[in-house]
Amino acid sequence: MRRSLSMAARRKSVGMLMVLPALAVTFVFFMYPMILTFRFSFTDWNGLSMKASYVGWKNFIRVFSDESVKQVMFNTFFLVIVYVPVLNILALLASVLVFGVRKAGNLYKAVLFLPNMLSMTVIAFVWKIIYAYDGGLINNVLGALSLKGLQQDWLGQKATVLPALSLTIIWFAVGYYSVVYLAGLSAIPIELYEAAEVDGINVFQKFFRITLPLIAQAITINVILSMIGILSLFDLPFVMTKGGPGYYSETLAMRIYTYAYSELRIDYALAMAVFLGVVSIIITVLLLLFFRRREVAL
Amino acid sequence: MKKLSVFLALILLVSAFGWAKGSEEKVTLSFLGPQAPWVGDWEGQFEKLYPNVKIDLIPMPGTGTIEEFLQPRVVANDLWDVFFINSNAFAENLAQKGVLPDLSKTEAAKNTIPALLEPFTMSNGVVYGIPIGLATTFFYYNASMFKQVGITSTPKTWDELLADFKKLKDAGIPGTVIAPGGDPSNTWFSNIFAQKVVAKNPDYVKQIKAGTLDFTQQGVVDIFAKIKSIVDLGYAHPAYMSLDYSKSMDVFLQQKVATLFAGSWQAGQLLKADFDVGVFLPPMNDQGEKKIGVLAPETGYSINAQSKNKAWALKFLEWMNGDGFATYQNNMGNVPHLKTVKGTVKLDPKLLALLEELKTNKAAWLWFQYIPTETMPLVQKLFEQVLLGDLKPADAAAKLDQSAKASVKK
Repeated sequence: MRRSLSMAARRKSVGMLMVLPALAVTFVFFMYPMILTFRFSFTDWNGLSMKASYVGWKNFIRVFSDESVKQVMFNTFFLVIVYVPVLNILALLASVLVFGVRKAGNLYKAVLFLPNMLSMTVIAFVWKIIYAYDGGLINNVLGALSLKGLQQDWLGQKATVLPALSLTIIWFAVGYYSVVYLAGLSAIPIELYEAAEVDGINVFQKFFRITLPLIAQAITINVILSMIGILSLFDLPFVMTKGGPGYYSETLAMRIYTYAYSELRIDYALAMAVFLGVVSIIITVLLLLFFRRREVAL
Repeated sequence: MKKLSVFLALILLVSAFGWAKGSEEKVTLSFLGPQAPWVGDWEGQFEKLYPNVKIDLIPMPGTGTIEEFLQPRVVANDLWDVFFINSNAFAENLAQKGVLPDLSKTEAAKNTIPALLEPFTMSNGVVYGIPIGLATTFFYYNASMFKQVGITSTPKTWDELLADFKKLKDAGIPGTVIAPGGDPSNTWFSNIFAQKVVAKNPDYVKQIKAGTLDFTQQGVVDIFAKIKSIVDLGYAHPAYMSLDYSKSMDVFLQQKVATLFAGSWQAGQLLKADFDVGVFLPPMNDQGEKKIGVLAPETGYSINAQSKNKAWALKFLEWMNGDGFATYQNNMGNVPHLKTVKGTVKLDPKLLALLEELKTNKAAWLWFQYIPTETMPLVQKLFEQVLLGDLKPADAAAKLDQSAKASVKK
């Protein structure tokens, strides 16, 4: 008994030692900056000197009394509500279609994943050209089809800018999330489908009664990851529209940047960053609780 | 014996020379400079003069403000040795903190036209930057398009400008580019502010710093109202909300619009277009009003006061404004800011004539040289909101007033 206890204790301490470097990195590069961000968000720190005085909730009040912040928050949550379901539905459909392909299946998977191999900044530049009013691909195609009346300034109108950005992000990200769904699909025992075929159920019933419940964990992962990705979206709208026209494509992450580097108000930027962090945590926890209840354990 | 002595003396001499050369300090100067193909050769001239110095050029990207690039480097204590600097509150703040040195005793400062050095000079006499040229703004126009619609002389007043735009519109040619994402503040804002506000408030710089200038006055409202009228009358390129700085130039160079309201710093590119390009002074004045233009220093250069290469950085700065200036100027197509220029400087005669006219009139600075740093990002957004119809011009002026005064109170 004593020998097995000391073995267990030894294994535990070895395990702790193994984890320690990763913990140290996490603390130094993630936790410590988060703590400092939270601390300085209640001060008037200007980012140039180490002097900072406590100002209470003043920064938060100032940030949320800015009328444009309402539009910025609407944009971010619009993207969450549109992007997350649409992206996950498309990624799931794509992975179900590709999963069943025997010949050249790997080629299809590679093509699906290809956009994700480029950086978001490159994607943004490319799509900015595609959406351009003069010489852009979309307007050129419309012109060639004698549909000049449908030519738009896609990134210059409040009605079209967010849908245009959403389409770009979905095109970029669908491959990445398909990979997670493909992993989930490959874990489903094939015998279940064979038994279902014997019982005479159709394709749609197979999908909704077998596939969907059994990839619940993959859905949970993807929904949370895509939600966090959208909440912290910066590079794509920054390159494509700089948050315009007006504030109609500005995201919360962009507003943090604007406060910090354009208006040189680091204190407001930190307050906004703390808000975004808290919102992200709350939404993640709620989503986890919601989806965990629906996961099926085999 | 004699031959041996001479031989030994020669060996000693060559060794001494080699040792001296080898022990000369090797310096790498980091330089946040212009993004252009000729810059490498231009720097090479300095490196040829001083073989122990290597210039490590970091080209300034076309998007983003200089302050956006400087701010994180200042915080990280990782500034370049030589870098662009604008004359504004942000730079003054850096000078107060000792990040930028006092350049008032340099030859470059002494040789700069005093009126152009003034925006880079603090109230205590510290000069924190040296401009790299004289800045003003012009309407560049496609001479063939003007001729095509029967415009025989360039407009001298606002109403004449609108009349010419109407002629162009009737011929199916967009009159100009209005690009809030481009450069409307340097052009439309600065010029209409000069014409309508500076005329009545000659001490505008001091008043803005003191927070006493009334931005809700009609002159400021006119800035937003005039831009909106250009768009509402259909005189602007249709993609006015999504064009940025470089795309605005492209649209003009691709002959999709008749005019481009742009800076003198763009003259080098615009006047080299493959069609006949003319220039005229911005006609923001009404009939009978004396024209007030914009005459200001260009963006300048400064050095890192805390750099270990400070002495060489200073040498490079002096060279930029001395022997190296002619090459820089002839490639950029700038207007010199110096009293005397070394070398032969080529100036487009079209610009010279207009500059002479401009110098005889009263002039104001460019907007970023007097608008508070915190308020600057708001100006572009106000343009966009007015053009979208989300704000009336008077409301935009009110928001500008609120922001400018709040930044002073801080």
